[in-house]
Amino acid sequence: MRARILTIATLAFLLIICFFIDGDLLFGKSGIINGEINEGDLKVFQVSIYKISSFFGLEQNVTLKLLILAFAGCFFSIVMDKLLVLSSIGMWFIYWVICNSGIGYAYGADYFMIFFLYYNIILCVFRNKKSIHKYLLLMLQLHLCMVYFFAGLGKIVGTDWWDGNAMWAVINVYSFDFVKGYAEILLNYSSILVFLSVATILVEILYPFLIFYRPTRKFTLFSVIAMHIGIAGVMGLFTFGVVMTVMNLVAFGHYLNIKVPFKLPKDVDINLETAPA
Amino acid sequence: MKTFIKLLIAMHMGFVSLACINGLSQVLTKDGQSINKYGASVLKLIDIEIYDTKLYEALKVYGTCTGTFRGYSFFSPNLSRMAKNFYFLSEGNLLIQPKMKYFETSFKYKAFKSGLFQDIFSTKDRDDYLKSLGAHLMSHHSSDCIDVYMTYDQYNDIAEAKEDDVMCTTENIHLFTLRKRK
Repeated sequence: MRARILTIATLAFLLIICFFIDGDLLFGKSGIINGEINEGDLKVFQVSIYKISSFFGLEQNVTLKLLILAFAGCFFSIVMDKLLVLSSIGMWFIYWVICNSGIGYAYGADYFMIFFLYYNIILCVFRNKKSIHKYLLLMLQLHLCMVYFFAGLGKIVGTDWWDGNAMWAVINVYSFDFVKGYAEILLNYSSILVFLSVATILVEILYPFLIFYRPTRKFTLFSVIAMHIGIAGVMGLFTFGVVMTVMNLVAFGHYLNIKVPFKLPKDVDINLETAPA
Repeated sequence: MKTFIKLLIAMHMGFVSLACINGLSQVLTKDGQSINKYGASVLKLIDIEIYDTKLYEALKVYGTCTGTFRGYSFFSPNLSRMAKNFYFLSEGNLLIQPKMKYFETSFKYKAFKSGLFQDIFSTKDRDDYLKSLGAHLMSHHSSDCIDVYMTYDQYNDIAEAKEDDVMCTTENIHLFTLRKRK
């Protein structure tokens, strides 16, 4: 359980660093998106840097830096195994506020990270209740199953994902320039595009069934991770790929039976045995 | 304790299902979508009336806080073959857009630019964001007047591209002119 909590907290900490570097440009007073315009897209209960700055009379970039420092404090508190529940709530809240502050910048990776940090709160709250650890794991597993099933269902009802045009559009519209350079070559081997499109649908829609079936679970896990690596390589969604891969490994990584090559301290419980088969 | 966690899981899954069905129904009912015969049956199945109720609005608070409110119909059911972008000109010179130092923030800026021309934002929102970006560029390039242009490239599908060319049209549209307040 502790390994899972630390993994999620570390991933979030690595992602938040980018806001420290480019925060002024993204959220500052003379930044790209004016805070007032962003507020128009938020609900009343959605806290943002702009709202906090207006309330305390601070500059937006000062508020952002203070939030990131508080986030770092929460992260180190989790690493030191102190005030876990409070720190995990702090991490979730600050990440949520930063995403609300630039709703135009937020994309899939951010929304999955917000869910991951919310899930981390639940892990921290129930970390000492060993009898329910398997249910906690089940929650993440079912969530992932839902994500992939609906992602697959959305694709299966269209036409582009059956005839390869979806992959063709991904390459031409959404990918790096060096990938676009191969478009004309791929046109001569359009069956590759059809194969990749249909494989994507099958991996996603069958994920909830194959991942729980013993003979296919490792193959499914490898396939879905390969899909995310492909998305990262072709479309540049690196962070999304990392977040989804880590989420899959946290939920189903114990199926891989990876032997830890060093001795874990006694208080570190990676809880492979209690995970549902 | 077990009952509590089971209830939490049930509630979470219930909400995520609703958000997913809502997201799916939104992408399937978009104008001009080409849907196969299974799609029509799925659309009938997911056509439920909960989304205008106060209960769903209340549940959306949970979804917004947990990042699950949009559903997961990524790139569904079909993909647009139109690449849209924008650029800024000042006295005929192309203005260089902000450059991020970190790869993730660069990607966020790219996601922001591509999101502006999707259904996430209305035309008014899109123009407001472009004005905000234009104001940022004005202050950095000491410019008093900026013209905002949109460009789009339309790609052929596989069959058309085999016969003709990969790209079929490219167009530039002047959206508006921004002037500094005196």
